[in-house]
Amino acid sequence: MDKTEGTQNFDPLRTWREWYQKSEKQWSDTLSGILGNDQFAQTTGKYVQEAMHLHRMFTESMAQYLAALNLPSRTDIIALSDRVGELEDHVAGLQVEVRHLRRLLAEYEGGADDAPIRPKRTKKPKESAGEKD
Amino acid sequence: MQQAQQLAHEDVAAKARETVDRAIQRNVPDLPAPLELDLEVGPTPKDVVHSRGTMKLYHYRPLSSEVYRVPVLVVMSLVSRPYILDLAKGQSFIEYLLLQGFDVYLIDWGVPRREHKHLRLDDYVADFIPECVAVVGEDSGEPDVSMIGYCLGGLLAALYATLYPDGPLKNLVCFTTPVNSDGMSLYRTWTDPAHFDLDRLIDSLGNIPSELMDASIQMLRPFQKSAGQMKLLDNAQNEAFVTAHLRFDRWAADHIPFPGETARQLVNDFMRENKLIRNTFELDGRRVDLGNIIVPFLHVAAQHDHIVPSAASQDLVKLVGSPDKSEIVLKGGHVSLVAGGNAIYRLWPKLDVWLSQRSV
Repeated sequence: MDKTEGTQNFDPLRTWREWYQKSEKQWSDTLSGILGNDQFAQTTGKYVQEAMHLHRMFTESMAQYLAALNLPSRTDIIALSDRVGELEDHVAGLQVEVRHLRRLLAEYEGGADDAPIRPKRTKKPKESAGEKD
Repeated sequence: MQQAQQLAHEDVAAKARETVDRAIQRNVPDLPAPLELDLEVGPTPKDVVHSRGTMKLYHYRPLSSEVYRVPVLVVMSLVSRPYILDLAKGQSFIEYLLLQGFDVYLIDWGVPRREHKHLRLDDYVADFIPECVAVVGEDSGEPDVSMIGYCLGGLLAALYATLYPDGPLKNLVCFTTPVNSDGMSLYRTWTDPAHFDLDRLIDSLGNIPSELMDASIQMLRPFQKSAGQMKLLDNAQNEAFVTAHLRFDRWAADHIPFPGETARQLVNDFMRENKLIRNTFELDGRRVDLGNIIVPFLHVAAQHDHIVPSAASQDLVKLVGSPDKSEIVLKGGHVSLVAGGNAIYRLWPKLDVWLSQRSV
């Protein structure tokens, strides 16, 4: 007997896992049926509103504690992340400018060595592709 | 008999040790890694040719010396990151297009910050996309462009096509694009104004947090993730499977926030009032009529799509006004359609045939 087969036969959870994977769609559909009723939507809607209220209260009170401990809050981290995002956007803008200048330079010099090669736009579809469907 | 059982037990123990060792080695950086799990994504070389705020327009470097005349502009969804279309070498829709001889550009919307909460669909469709189309024209030197939109990106591309029927759009391809909210019953129920205060949520938070976006998608098929984990466990010895799975998992967990005003517009006008189907949807002060799409059109839907079920997308091809229009329904789910292991046999070649005929 193949060594792998022997091992697989002794994996008591494999059958259960396979059954779970095969029946996952049915379980998901069943649960989605419950999640899709008005009562669930109503409960979730209320939960979201309450969670937002609690979140705001908690954030405000925690911000004071964190500030006292000289630690950054989530808001501070998001602000930092936003600034990194802004920097990334500026770098992208510079990349665009550099690329543009290189192209101009290549045209001016009649084609620089490191200028990107522009492929010919003459490709035709394969004959085997047939007519338009 | 007893001896055989003893050997089998030893086998199980050895396999268990091996699996645990591999798991540890994967998660502890200092240990020598038996698997190359450096999960680099988006490996196809590209240049930023235009940027504005978080939006970036990429041009992928051609992989062939001769390309089709008409460049292709891929419009990504606002919900997720675009590297799903370029996961890894050999598992990349973008790489496939390049190898077939297409000149490919892609709009990456980036990650919206608080300052972008005011962005509406009007901004994306009537400002950002036309700007990118102009840059593609200038960069490629071609007056025409084909557009491929995925999911919500498909909706953006279709809306663009309705507003600019006189060009320069030459072909339009939409993957799994929602147009009829009657087919999205779960989302419709969850966003019912009777119990979901959307305005309060957006006014308080600005953008919809990525966690909320992720949770709403998970709830559409609650057990799928755990079933995926079990499949991973069953294939723990298969390095190719593990790598592909982890790479995909990384993307699935990498959600981005959704711009607040766009969410308000989509939930009110599309999800609740279904204005697109009723022909009352307005953008940039103009009524949107899908019948205005007169360019060659292809819609591709997935048979087992639980995010955009066929009931939500199948009307698109009927409403489009083009005489050259078709729809393909393929096996697969919302994501596996474009990025799964079978996409290279199912979707990609079909798209190549359709688009190459119309790209000269």
